[in-house]
Amino acid sequence: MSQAQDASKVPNAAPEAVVQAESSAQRIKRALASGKKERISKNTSNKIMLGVFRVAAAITTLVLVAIIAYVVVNGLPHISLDFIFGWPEGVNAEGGIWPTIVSTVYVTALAMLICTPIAVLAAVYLAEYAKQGRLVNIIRYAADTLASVPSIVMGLFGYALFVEAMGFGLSMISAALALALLMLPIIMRTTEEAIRAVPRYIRWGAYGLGATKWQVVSKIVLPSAFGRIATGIVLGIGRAIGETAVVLYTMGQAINMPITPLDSGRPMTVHLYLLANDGINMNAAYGTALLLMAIILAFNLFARWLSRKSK
Amino acid sequence: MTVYRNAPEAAQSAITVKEFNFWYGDFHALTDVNLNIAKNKITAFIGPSGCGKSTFLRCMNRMNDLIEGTRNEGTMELDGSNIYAEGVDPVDLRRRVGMIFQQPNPFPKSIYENVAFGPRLQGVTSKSDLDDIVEESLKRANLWKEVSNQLSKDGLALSGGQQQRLCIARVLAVQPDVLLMDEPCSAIDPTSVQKVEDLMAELAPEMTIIIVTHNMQQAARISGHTAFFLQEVAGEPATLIEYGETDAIFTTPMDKRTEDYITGRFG
Amino acid sequence: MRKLFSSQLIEARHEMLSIFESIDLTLHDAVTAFVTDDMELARRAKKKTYKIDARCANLEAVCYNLIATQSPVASDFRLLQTIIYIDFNLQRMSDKVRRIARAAKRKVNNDIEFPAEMVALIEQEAASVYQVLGSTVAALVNNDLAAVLALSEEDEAVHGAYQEFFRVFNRTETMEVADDAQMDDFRRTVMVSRYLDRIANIAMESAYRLVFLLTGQRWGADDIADADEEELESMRIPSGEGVTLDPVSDARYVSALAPDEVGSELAALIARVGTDGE
Repeated sequence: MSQAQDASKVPNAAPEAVVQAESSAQRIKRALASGKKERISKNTSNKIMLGVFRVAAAITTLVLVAIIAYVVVNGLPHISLDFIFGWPEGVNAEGGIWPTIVSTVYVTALAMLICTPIAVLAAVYLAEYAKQGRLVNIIRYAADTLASVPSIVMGLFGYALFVEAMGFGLSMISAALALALLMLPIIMRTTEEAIRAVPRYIRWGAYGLGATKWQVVSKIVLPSAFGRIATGIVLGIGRAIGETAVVLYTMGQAINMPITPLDSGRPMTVHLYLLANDGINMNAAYGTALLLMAIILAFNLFARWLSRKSK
Repeated sequence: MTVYRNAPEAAQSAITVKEFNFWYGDFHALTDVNLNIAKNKITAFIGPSGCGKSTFLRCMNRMNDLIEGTRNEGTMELDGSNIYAEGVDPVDLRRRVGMIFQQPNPFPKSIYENVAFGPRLQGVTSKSDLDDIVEESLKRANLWKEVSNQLSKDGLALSGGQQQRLCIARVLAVQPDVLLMDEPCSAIDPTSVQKVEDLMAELAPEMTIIIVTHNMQQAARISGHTAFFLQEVAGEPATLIEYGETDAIFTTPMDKRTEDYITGRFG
Repeated sequence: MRKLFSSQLIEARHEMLSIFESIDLTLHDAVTAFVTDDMELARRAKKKTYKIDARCANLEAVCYNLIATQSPVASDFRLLQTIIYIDFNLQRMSDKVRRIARAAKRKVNNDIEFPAEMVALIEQEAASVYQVLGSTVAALVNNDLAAVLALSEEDEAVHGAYQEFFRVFNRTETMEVADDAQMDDFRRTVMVSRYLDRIANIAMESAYRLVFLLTGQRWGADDIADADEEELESMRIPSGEGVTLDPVSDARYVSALAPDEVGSELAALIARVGTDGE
């Protein structure tokens, strides 16, 4: 008969359980120790893959550097204040490219002004108000598809609708509308993602204080998502600046200084295309290309700075 | 059938619940809950995970309305009037019945703006009024001393425990009658837990507090009444098993399931 | 869940029962030593009581440690409170047994002669006390409220024997006593009857705590004595693993007790333990 001698000791597990535990631990140890040797050792395959990744990264970087270097080397000698602020002269477009710069900026700004309110409000509706279901999914899918429409098709569509049917003619407004259609899905999707990225608990905190839905959206969600929305807008702008086919068909190619939206003009991308096509004034072509890339680069850096600032 | 151990009478209650049932879509989550929440006291809801206590808590300020597909039957009365009646404005209800969440959720704004948010919603615009409200609320939440000289600091830059007290200050700024707390201490460190518990004890005589908690000792320490919810069979609705004075529940529970849960034998 | 805590609770409970058994056996030795003037037995009994005291102190520390570290509630907490209370009473009983052993030694040392009638009364009283102890243990092992109620009668029997002893003592002609010192020694040996009476009463008080364990109500001894079984049974509330045990495993820890003293139910359990083996 056993008496508990020292009740403060922790009772041991029953003997059978201890024996079983030992043998299963031993079995695991044995299995681990006798793992099969692979053909290539782990370290070697690790090093090989590391090398492969490094090469891929290097290629990518080199390509970008090569393009930039090519344009810079060929274009920099021709950049001068005259070039930036002067007008094209003569049939070979000697001189400057000032009106093209203005056209580019004008049409892009106009497109942004048209596109942004529609895109943001549509995104707010989709993300916050719409009942999530098939209809909303179809809308999203349609927006995504719109983003992948070839720009030449968009250009022709813009020509048919804005230039001809609505009677705007080849003008800033036609081009801006067509560009807006292109920018719309980008801005709408990034805005929607930005809104959905606002955590549920933050919204519930606002509801818990007695806020209506619109107060929650306007005072909490949108301010919180602002950084990402701005980034999306800037990225859309970057895309729009680089468009060629769309503006070609909706703005034409007449060199003009646009004042009203109904004026036509020639943006930098079209100018570059025509110069390169003729092949006569490659200097001006490279200069235009360099300036164009500089503008796009500036916008991208601005977008990054904005997104970092909003974090 | 629920066992009642000296549960509060309807006359001394802030919230009375009768025959309350709740569905998430087709899923019957809670069935036939009857209880009265004592006015200006602390009540604890305990039970294993998924037993419907957080759901029930959210019903009390109609936060579940924000989730699609929810519906309920039965009445839930705040100071005598059914909060689910036609014509009741949930936005106004949520001002009177505030909520603190498990994860501290300050807005990505300054401390001042966080606390001023609620009053601004109510239309308070005068700077001096807002200053007073912010200071008063932060003092009541025992956070004033720590942040009084950095009110423009971002709310998210505070520590976890401070963030939770900021959320409490934010809710206090709208002067609620009832404070619902959904596991407010699970995500913060033990010293801050102590501060939040002390804060609850200070607030209790002026407002009704309901806290959902997994921590048995916490429920025993701070609450006057405790309700034990349980979903016995998966797929079946959860029920209120036992409700009454905390002392009675924790020393002499009458239902075996209560006994097993609070001694840690399951859940 | 909480396997470690459950097993610690059960161990504490078994230790309490085991100490109880020890006291019962040591009491037997002390009384026998007194009645048969066995010096050696008295000495051994006295030593055993010191060991019992050490075990009681250890059990108390263990229980308080469990309260501090395991945050017990409900039936676990009631069980720990009950064990600590009974443990305290076991220490009181151990003290009384030691005094009986000391009285036996004194009786031998001073060559005190007792009339046969008084020795017989002591033996009778002791027999009743063994019944009370046995019933107490049976009640604790089986969580038997009916047995608890029956204790007051058995305690009455002990008390009656004690009163009878002193009546006889007072009527008996004065022994040949040389001086005050001898008178004191004689008085102290006579106190054995009182010690036996106290032991039975303390055991009964310990058993009454079972009512608290099983119903959560703190009733006084008078209220329990007057209660009826149905009333108490209706007040029972759920108990956890530490409280409602397999009585057979409890029986193992009291199996050294004499079967005729523990009542039929517990005797049967002990027999089962014997046949099932360790």
